[in-house]
Amino acid sequence: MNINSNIKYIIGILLLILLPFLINNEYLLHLLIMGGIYTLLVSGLNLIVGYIGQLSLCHPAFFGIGAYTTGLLFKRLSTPFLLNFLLAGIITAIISIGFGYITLRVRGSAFIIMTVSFLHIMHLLVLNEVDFTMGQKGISGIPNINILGYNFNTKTSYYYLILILCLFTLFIIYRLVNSEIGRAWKAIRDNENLAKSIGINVFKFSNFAFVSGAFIAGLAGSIYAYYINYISPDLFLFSITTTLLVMLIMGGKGTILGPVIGAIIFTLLPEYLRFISEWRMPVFGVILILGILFFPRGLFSIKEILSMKMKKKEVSS
Amino acid sequence: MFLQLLINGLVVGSGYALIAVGHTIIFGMMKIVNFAHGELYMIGAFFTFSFVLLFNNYYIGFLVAMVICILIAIFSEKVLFHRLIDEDIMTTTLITIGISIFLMNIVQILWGANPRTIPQPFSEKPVIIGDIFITKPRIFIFFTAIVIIGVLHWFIKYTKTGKAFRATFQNRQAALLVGININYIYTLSYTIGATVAGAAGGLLGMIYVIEPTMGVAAVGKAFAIVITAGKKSIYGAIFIAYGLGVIESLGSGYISSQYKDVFAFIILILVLLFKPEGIFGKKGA
Amino acid sequence: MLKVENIAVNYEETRALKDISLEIKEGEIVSIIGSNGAGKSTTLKAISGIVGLQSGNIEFKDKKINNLSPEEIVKAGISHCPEGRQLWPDMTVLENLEMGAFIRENSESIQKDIQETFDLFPILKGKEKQTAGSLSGGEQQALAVARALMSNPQLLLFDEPSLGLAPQLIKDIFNKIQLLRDEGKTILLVEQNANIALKTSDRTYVIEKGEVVLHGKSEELIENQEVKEIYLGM
Ligand SMILES: Nc1ncnc2c1ncn2[C@@H]1O[C@H](COP(=O)(O)OP(=O)(O)O)[C@@H](O)[C@H]1O
Ligand SMILES: [Mg+2]
Repeated sequence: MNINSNIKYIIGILLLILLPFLINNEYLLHLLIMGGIYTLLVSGLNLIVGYIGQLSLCHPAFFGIGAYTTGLLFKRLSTPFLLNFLLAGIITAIISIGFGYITLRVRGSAFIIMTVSFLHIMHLLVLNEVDFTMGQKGISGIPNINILGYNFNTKTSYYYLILILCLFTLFIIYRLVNSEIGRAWKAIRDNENLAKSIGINVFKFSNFAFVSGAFIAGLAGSIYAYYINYISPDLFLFSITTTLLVMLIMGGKGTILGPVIGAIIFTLLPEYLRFISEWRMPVFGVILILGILFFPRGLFSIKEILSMKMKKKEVSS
Repeated sequence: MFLQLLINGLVVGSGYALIAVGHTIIFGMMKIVNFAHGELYMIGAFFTFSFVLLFNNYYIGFLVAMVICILIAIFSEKVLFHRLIDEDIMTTTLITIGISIFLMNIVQILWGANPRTIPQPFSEKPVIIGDIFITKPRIFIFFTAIVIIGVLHWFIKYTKTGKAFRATFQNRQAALLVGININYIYTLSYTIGATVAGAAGGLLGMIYVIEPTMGVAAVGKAFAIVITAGKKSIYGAIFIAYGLGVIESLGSGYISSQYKDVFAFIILILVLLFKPEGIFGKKGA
Repeated sequence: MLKVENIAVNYEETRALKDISLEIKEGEIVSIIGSNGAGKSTTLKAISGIVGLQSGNIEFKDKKINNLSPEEIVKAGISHCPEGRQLWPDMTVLENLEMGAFIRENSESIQKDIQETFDLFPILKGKEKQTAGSLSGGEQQALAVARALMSNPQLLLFDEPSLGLAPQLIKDIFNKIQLLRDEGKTILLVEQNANIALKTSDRTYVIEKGEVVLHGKSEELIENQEVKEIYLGM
C-alpha cells in the first residue's frame, strides 16, 4: 500500500466517523447500522465462498446461533454483554467446527446440500424446541448493550460500535488474506489438487476459513440481538442466504472491500425502492442471475473488465 | 400401524421418486446442480390447481398443466439452462438459486401465499383393508407414479431416442461422434426431468397443501436422494426415493413427526461419511 | 478425398493447432505421428467437427465441411474412432453397435451389418448382451472399431487404436485396418506408436506443436534419420 492510498483510506475512515453528524437522519443511520451487520456477515461468508471456493448456504444459521446464544443467555442467566458477546462467537464457532468437520471433506454439490440442510434443520429446531427457544414467538425484551455502566441507547452509539467492529474485522481479514494462510486459501480455490500436491492441508485450511466466518457471524448475531431487542426463527430463513449471496456476488467475492460495498448497497437500495415492495425478492433473483452471468467478479469489476479487454486487444493486434 | 405407515411412506415416496428422477437426469446429463428443480414441482402443482378449477375436471386440468410445464421446460432450457451445461458448480448453483427465488416469489405474487389443495376427483370414502386405511387420491398417486416411471423406463431402455439419451448420459463425446444431436437430447432430458417433477406437484397437491415455498423442501430431498443413490444412477434414485418416503413415514410415526425432514439429512451425512460415491455409485465416477 | 488446409484450433487460451494441412486420396491409409500433445487428436476432432476451427478449411469429396455439425459430418461419410475407445460402458455390446448406426434408418441392413461385425471380430461373438464396460481391453478396442464401422463410412479416422493393447492384439487391429482398406475404405490413422503406423500406412505426416514438420511416403520416412532417432528410438 502506498502513501497515496493510505491517505484515501484515512479520509474514508474520517468520513465514516463524521457521518452521523453529517446525515442527521435516524432512519438512514439505522440502515447504515444494518449495512454494518451485513458487512460482517458477508465478509465472513466471503472467506469460504470467495477465498476457498466452496459455496456455503448456511451462513444465516451462524448468525442465528449467535443471536439465540445471546438472547437465551440473557433470558436465562442475565449475564452481561461482554460475556454474552464473546460466548455468542465462541459457541457459534464450536458448532461450525463440528459441522465443518463432517461436511468439508466433500466439495461441490454435496457440501452445498449439507449446508442447506443444516440451515433448514436449525430452523426446525428453533421452531420446535419451544420450551428452550420460545418457538415462533421468538425472544423479546433483550435490553440495550451496557458496557461497564455505559448504556447504548442511541443509534449513534450502535453506529460507532458496529463501525469499530467492521473496521477491526476487515483489518484482520486483510491481514489473513495477505498472509501464508490467505495464499493457501487461494491455492485451494484455484486448484484443489495442485494445492494438495504441494502439501497444503486442504481440509484444515477450509475449516479455518469456514469457522472464522461463522465466528464473525456469531458476533454479528449477538450485536443484532441487542440492537433490535428481539429475535425470531426467521433469522434462519433461506431468504437471508439469498440476500447475503446477492450482496457478495454483486459486491465482488474474493475481495476485501467487495462485501462491504455489496452489503451497503443492497441494504440501502431495497429501502429506497419501496415501490417495488413485493417485487423485491423476484428482483433479487433476477439480479443474482444477471450478476453471475454478466459480472462474475462483481459490479465494480466493470472497470477491470474493460481494461482487460483493452489489454487483450493490444496483445492480439 | 406399521403397514399403514409403510403404505403412506410409499405414497410419499412416489412423489419423491418423480422429483428425484428428473433431478438425476438433469444432474447426470447436464451436470447442472439445479436448485430450481423444486420450483417445477411447485409450478406443476399451481397450474394443476388453477386448471382443475377452470375445467372443473381433475384429469383435464392435470394434463393441461403438464403441457404448460413442458412448454416452460423447453423454453427455460433453450434460454438459460443450455448455457449452464459444464459451467462450474458455484455458477450454476447461484444462477439456479436466482431462478428458484424468482419463480417462487412470482407465484407468490400471482397466486397469493395462502395455502390450498388441489380439488380431487374421488369420493371421500377411503379404501379399508383390515385395519389399513387408504384414501383414493393416495392410491391414484401411487399407481400414476408407477405408470410414469414405467413409461420412462420403456422409453430409455427400448426406443432409439432413449438409447441415444443413455449414450449421451454415459459418454457425451462418443454420442457426438456417432451423429447424435446432443443439443436435442439435452432439451429433451431437461423437459422430461422438469415435467416429471411438475407431475409430482400435480399429484401430491391433492393430498398436501400447496404453497409457493413447497419447492424448497422438495429440492432438498431430491438432492439428498440423488447424492445418496450415487449421482448418476436413475434406478438407484427411484429406489432411494421410495426408501426415504418409508423411512420418513415410519420415523414420524414412531419417533417424531416434527423432525421428519431431518431423516433425509441424517442419511445423507452417513452416506457421505461411509460411502461418499453413493449407495449405487461407482468409485471414481 | 479429404483436404485439410491450414487449419488452426484453439482451446480457450491455448493454441493446439497452428497450421496443419494434409490430404488423403481415396483408398489410402495415411498416418499422422508425433509426440504426446503434438495436436494429433485435435486434428481428428477438427475433421469430425467436435472442435471448431480458428481458421483454415476442410473439404471432403470436394465439399466444404468445416461448418457442418458432427451429425452432418457422420452423415457425409466420415467416422471417427476416438482415442481411449469411448464406449458406453453401461450399454450392451449390441446397443453400442446399434448406436454406431444412429444416423442410418434401414434397420434390416443395420441388423445385417451387425451380424457381419461378429464375423469380422469373432472375439465379440457370444458377448452381445454383455455391457461394454465388462469387456477386456482388446475386446473393447474391437468394439470401438466395429462401432465406427456401423455408420457405413467412406473415411475412417482412428485415434491411437494401439493404446494399452498387448503386441498380439495390436497386430490384430492393424490387420483389420488393412483389411478395411482392401474393402475400399479410406483411412486416416493417428498413432504414437510410429513403428506400426509407418509400416501400415502408405503415407505419413509428422506433426509437432500443431504444425506439420515432415511428410512423405511411409517407406521413405522409415529410413529418414530424424524419424528414426526421434520417433522410432533407434
Ligand atoms: N480439451 C482441451 N482443453 C485444453 N487444451 C487441450 C484440450 N485437449 C487438448 N489440449 C491441448 O492441445 C494440445 C494438443 O493436444 P492433442 O491434440 O490431444 O495432442 P495429441 O493427440 O497429439 O497427444 C496439447 O497441448 C493439449 O494439452
Ligand atoms: Mg491424442
